[in-house]
Amino acid sequence: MHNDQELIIQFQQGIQKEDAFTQLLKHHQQKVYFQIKRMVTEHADADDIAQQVWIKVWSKLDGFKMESEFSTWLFRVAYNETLNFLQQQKKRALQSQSEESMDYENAASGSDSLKSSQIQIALEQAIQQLPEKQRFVFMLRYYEELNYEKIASITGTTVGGAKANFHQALKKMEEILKRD
Amino acid sequence: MQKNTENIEILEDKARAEKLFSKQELQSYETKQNEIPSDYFEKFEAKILNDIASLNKKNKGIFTIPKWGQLAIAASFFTIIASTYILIQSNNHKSDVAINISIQEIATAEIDAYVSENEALAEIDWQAEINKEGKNLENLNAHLIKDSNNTQ
Repeated sequence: MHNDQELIIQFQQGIQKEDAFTQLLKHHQQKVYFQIKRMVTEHADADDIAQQVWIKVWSKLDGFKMESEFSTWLFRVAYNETLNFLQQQKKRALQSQSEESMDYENAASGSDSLKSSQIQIALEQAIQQLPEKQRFVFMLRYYEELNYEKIASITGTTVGGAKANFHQALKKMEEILKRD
Repeated sequence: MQKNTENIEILEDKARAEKLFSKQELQSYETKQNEIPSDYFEKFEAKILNDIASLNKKNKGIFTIPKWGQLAIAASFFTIIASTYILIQSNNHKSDVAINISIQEIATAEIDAYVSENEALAEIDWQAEINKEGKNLENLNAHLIKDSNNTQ
């Protein structure tokens, strides 16, 4: 069983490149997928983004200098790809605002959501209404239990900025709960 | 020590979130996100490796020349041009020498013979030209005489 660093060296030296990549994929694919899924909620979207993330990892891993942990770098790639996706989604939604409101209603009153408790729906809505960065930071802190240093390198901010994002996310969710 | 502090901080942050929503609710949100088709990750792995294989094929299809190869091509191109130029120059020089040598090598007797053989032809040509000019002059004179008679 190799660790990430050994696998990356193997990959960069071109020794059984595909084997090294497959092992990295096996180690990390679930964490990457679930982090993306928490952000976009739809499986098909998460699958598309995860695919793009791993293809990017394949093409950029040769240039990875191991200045940070591989998992941090990987989450950063995932973060950027997710943000790109969400921005494109926003643009499309702005182009057809009426469709968006219909989608939102459907999402809120979908068959799965009906089964959930009202608080569950409120939680989902609150999370979805958070700005992308705050949402990403909240997920990394609450579900992945990452320290702020790692979160800061993933999201390209300072430790203080990452802390502020988490606290703002909580504040915003509280406001949304009170409002609804 | 630092790890412990970090862990305590994480637990504190989680506790703050759990004040808004219960631990169970937050956990059930996560469970819902974890719902994926069966064998998804196995299939995903195969799909990614397949995508990468086709990406590699595509990249191999594009003809790329490494830097050393580009330099080698440039050098050989320059060599071809230079050697062609040198070859043409030396050929020109050789043909000049050949002409000079051939003229010098022809014996005077041979030159004289050639000139005398072609002299008759040259004479004929010259004679024809002189006759022609003479006729023209005669015509001109006749015209001039006519004109002077008319004026008188």
